[in-house]
Amino acid sequence: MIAAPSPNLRRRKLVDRLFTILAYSAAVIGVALLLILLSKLFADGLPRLSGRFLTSMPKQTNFAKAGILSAIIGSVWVMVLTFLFAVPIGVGAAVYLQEFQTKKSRFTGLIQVNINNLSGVPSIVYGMLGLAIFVPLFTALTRDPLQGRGIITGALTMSLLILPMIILVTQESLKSVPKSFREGSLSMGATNWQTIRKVVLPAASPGILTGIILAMGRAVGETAPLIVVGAASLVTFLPRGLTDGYMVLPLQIYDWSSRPQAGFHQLAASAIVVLIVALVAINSIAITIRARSRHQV
Amino acid sequence: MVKANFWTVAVAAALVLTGCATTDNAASGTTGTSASTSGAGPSPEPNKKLTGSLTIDGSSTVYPIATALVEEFGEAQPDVRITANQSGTGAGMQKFGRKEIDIADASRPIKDKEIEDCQKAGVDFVELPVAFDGLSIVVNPKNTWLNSITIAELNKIWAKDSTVKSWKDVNPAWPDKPIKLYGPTTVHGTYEFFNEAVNKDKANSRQDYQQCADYNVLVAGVGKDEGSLGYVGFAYYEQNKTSLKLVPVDGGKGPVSPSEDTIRSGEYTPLSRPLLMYVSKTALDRPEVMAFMEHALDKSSNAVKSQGYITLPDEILTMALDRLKAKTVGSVFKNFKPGMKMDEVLKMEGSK
Repeated sequence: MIAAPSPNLRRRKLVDRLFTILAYSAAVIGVALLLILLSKLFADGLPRLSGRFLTSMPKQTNFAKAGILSAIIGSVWVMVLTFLFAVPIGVGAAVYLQEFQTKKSRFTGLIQVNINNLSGVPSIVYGMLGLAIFVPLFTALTRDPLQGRGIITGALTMSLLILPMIILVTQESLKSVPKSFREGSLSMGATNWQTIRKVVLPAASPGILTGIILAMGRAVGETAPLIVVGAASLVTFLPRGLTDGYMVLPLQIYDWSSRPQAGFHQLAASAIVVLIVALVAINSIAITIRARSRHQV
Repeated sequence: MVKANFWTVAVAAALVLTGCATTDNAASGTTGTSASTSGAGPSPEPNKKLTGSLTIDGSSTVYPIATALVEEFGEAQPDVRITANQSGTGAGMQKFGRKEIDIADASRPIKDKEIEDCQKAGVDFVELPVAFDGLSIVVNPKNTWLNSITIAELNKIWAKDSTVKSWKDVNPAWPDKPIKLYGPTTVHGTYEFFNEAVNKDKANSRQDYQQCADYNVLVAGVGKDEGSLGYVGFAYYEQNKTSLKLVPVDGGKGPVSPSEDTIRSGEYTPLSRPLLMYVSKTALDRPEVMAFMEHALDKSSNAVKSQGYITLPDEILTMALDRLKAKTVGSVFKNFKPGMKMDEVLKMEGSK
């Protein structure tokens, strides 16, 4: 009775093959859609891309001379400030939760649950938070409703947005540092702080860095919170101070794509290409760092 | 549509959450030399370099004109720092009433409630028309049966309690094909103007139509759907002539197709409308704001035309310029009803 395979087995094998094909096509669909989207974008966007596109201000009539300088500079401002706010606070919070609060108290449990939840909150909600807190704050400080909606307001809002991401990634990286590292250091007489600074953080740094870079990537592409806290659609100047008006790359794209003229739509496509290239570059840096650190361990 | 929904939420949210914050905008970062006496306004010498700052917000319909003006103005006055935004007419008016902006773009005249808010906050405004627009009725190019439409038919289709489901329901001569309606969302000034013209009530329209916050979505929808009908600003038709069919509108004197001439002359009625800018009177004391508005009303400006809108006739521009220089406050356009001629409206100020 070992010869002929039972019809049951044949059916099971058929189902098995079928499932493989289904799973394969599911994977292919995602990639194919992405490729179609990218090829369309590049076809629309590449013709207008040039050095001039990156170094000119937006234009309303002469599409050939239009550019995204103000958007790029605005995005860089927001990114740098966001980095300065979010990284120390995020890493600090994670170190506290992971290294100093080894006993699970109700308080840290509460913080932890909150951070986990916050990382899933839609970005628009952070925009509302920024509008409720930072806009009135800076309006009061500068006595000018315009300056209340300047770069620093946007950057602080973005910092809130990526803070949970940075905390969670940092915690994961800290967790992955072997216990023996800490014990070795402590047994040599190092204090907790010395152990963290000299042993744990360096060992965890590739993971932390990767997380930070990915979080910055997210912040570069976000539009919603910045519209709410008042990034402009058009500025004729480059920001010079923390409370100046600004615009960012995704908002420039949003602005152009809602116009009637096809010329604007092409400009939007070009700006999208720039944004995608920037995001891919950011993510590649993260991947490279991660790959290197794996190599070392 | 995700984007569209978000925009609506964002604006609504902005309206709800920004409560306080009223400080004197005029006091910040301006050159502050104002030599204004009422009567003949102090127009700065053309080659005098101005500094200071200027903020514009409001209607997304007027926004392209504003940006083009900003660009032209920037060529002569590169040192004036200008910020422009497009939160929508209603949201722009709110910011204007809170002294957050100098100039509010509007695709409809200011409302009584908004005038009240301005009065309470002590904001005197000068109201200026900058361009014409003609709301254009568009259908799919495959639509062979509709060669003109009357206001009564539009009303039958768009009325609040309308039961029209197929083209045949409107006119028995038309085919029994489902009618698919496209329009802007209800926060648009365009929506309010259309309803006032067609349904005699700003808020009164059926709601079971495809509501688009982005006009390009509307254009794309009408372009692919054979039984569709929608209304858009003239500029959007002009830029999408191949995917849309324009329907002449019969306002009582036979069908008229919107065009530069018929909109400017007022022959295309009642769907022609003025596009407006509201400027704070205090802001006009700043030479850069005055100079910008003078440029907006300058005959030589190409801003309106380049963005697909209809330029005002010279005599209207002159009337508006007088109004600006005299800093005449108050609204005459709140009396504007669809179908009125603009020079008649502007002359009303004398009686006010």
